[in-house]
Parts: sequence; C-alpha cells; structure tokens
Amino acid sequence: MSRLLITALVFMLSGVGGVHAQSDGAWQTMALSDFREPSQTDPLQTTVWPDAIRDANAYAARELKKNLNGKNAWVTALSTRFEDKGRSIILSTVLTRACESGANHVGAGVERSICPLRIVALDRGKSTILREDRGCYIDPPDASLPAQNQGDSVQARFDPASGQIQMRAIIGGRLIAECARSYPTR
Amino acid sequence: MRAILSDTLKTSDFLMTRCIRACLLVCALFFALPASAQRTQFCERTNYSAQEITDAVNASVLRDDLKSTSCTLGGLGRFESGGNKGIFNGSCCTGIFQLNTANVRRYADTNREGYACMSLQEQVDAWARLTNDGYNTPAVRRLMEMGTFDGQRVDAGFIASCIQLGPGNCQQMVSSGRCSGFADPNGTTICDMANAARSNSNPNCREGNNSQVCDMGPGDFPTTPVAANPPAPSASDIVVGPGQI
Repeated sequence: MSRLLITALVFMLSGVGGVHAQSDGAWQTMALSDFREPSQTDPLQTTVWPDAIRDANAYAARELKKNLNGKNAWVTALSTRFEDKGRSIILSTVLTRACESGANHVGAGVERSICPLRIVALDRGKSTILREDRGCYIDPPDASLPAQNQGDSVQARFDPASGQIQMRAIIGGRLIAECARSYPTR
Repeated sequence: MRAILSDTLKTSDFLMTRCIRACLLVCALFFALPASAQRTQFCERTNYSAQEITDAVNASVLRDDLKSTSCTLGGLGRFESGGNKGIFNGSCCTGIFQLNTANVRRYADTNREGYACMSLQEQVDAWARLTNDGYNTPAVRRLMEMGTFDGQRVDAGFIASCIQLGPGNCQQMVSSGRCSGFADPNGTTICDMANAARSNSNPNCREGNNSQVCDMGPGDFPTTPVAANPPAPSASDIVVGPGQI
C-alpha cells in the first residue's frame, strides 16, 4: 500500500506544473502552466517565477482593483524539463507585463510574445539560475483558432552530448526566425 | 470667386480621397482575414459611436497628454471593431480596440470571452493601461520627440497605432524613417492605421480638453494663445491709442 502511495506521489510530482522530463534530443512542445492556483510544490512557482507571480499579484490588486482571495493573478508560463547527469534543467518563458506582445488589430493573426526566459538547474535540492534572457511565448491553440494555427507551439530540445538547449516556435506552420535560441547549460 | 471655388473643390477632393482610402482599408482588412478565421460574437453586439469611445477614453486612466487628442482614439475604436465590443476576430484579437489574447490576460486578468463581456469603460481601461505601458518604449518616445513622422502629425491616434501594431514593429518603422518601414501581412502600415483613426473620428468630436478636433497641416498655426500671461509694458514700448489705428 505504502509503495503504491509513494509511486503515486512520485508520478504526481514529476507532472507538476506541466513540466516534462525528456532528454532524448527530440523536439518537444513546451507545456502550459497556469499559476492562478498557488502551489508550494511546483518548482515553476516556487523556484523559477516567484518574482513574476508576486509582481502580477501586486498589479492585479493595485491597478486592476482585484480581490484575489488567496489565488494568484492570471500568470501563465511555458516550460520543459530535461534530465542531465543527475540534475534537472527547466527552461521556461512567462507571460507577464514585461513581455512585448504582437499586434492588437482586427486584421492580425496569432503572433508570438517576447517574454522573460529562464533556465534553472535543480540539483539535489539546490536551484541555480543558469541563464536569464527573453524568448518566445504563445498560448497553445484552442478550438476557436483557424485550422492553420492548430499546430502552433513553442518547442525545445536538449542535446545530451553537448548540453545545449535549443528553442524554436512554429506559428501557422512556419518557423519564426526571431524565436530561435540556443543555450549552453554546462 | 473662381479661386475660392477651386480651393473648395481641392479640399473636398482631398477629403474624399482620404475617406475612400479609409473605406478601402477597412474592406481590405475585412477580406484579408484568413478564410478559416471565424469571427465570434460574445455577449451583446454593440455599436458605440466614435464620441462614446472618446468619452470612455477621456474617463480612463490613459495619460493626459494622449487624451488631449483623444478624438482620433474614438476613430481608432470604430476602425478596429466598428464599435462592437463583443467581437473576436477569430485569431487573436477581441473587443473595441481588438486587444490580443496575451494583453487581455495581462491587462484585464481574464480571457477573451470575459473581456468581450466587460463594459465599454472596463475594456477601454485595459487598453489604456496597455497604451500607458507602451508609451515608455523607445519607439514611442522617439515619435513624441519628432512631432511629425514622414509628413504625418504624431497625435494620440498615431501613438496608439504604433502600440496597436506592436512596439517592436513600430521601432522598425521609426528606424526606417518612413511609413513603409513596417507593414503587417495585410499591408497595413502604422500610418494607414493612424489615417483611418482620424477618418473614423467624429468631425464634431470634443477632445478631453473640450476643444474641437482639427488636423494641423503645413502652414497652420496654433490658434491657442502663445502666452497666457503677456509681459507687462516697458518704458521703451510705443503706445498707440485706439483712435490712431
């Protein structure tokens, strides 16, 4: 029974915040996390973006006059997780007011936002920010978007040999040049 | 008489050309949306006038210096949504000023449906917060310093158009020095959008400071007093009495 509980707990923790653990070198779509429900165990909330969540909460209370009732403001992030030599590496972009978003226009289509990006290493309970930059964010497509946008995504891959992380975005079936990134992690 | 008639015809030609261009732009935008992009109407369909949108802008948290030419912003709202605050364009953008979904979340803390169902004032407040933040970008600051850009007056409609099409895209235009320096995939430039905003504004519109809208052009001079408090007369002044004029 206890073994079953531990297995369930490990399974739950590994899936927290939509962070995936794959390091086979293939492109994988970065998963969406919604931070409105506060969490003490999601590394995205506790380690990667606590300051962004704090700022958004302050803005919602001060400017939007929102009573959050113990919840967080609506902050979302994309992330993916890679395993490398006993440590976990999280790559994430977060949608906040610090992003530069695309057009607001009746004739516009889906566009990327350029947002804060962090790469954080988790190693035996210790976290280290390896890199801060700006990178692409797009919401995963929903059914109301045109068919050409149903495959839109921000993707990342990890090369286990070199330790390089690469990132790209696809919108409307096309690679977005300004979203291409490459970072060393060792 | 002939000269006056000729001037009048030239002016009406100019206005007609601007109106036709604005109409063509609106039609082009309507048909340029991807065929598969399905417009969606959330909540009630509205038809707010340019003046009603301008009034909401003037009641919003928008910076005071942008409110001083707020009539063009009423025109911008009409241009973007036809005054229909519940419309989603099928791909990115919702509401009276067609805020994209990322900005709806960031500046209104809701989703597109929630935003579409907000009141006109709440929508305009969210847009005003976005525009205030965009005001601090290098592209907007440079435009404000310039006063005119490629022959166009930099008014609130122009600044808002810069922010509407994205500060990064606007920077591209500013760096090029020409309106044609950036165009969206449908060929719409920031200058086109600013022109459409002016064309769609109410000709009898009252600005935030209660002055009537009037486009300044080459040869125009400010009609407001240069100095509210003229200097006191000095001993060297030549004083002319009323009967001597």
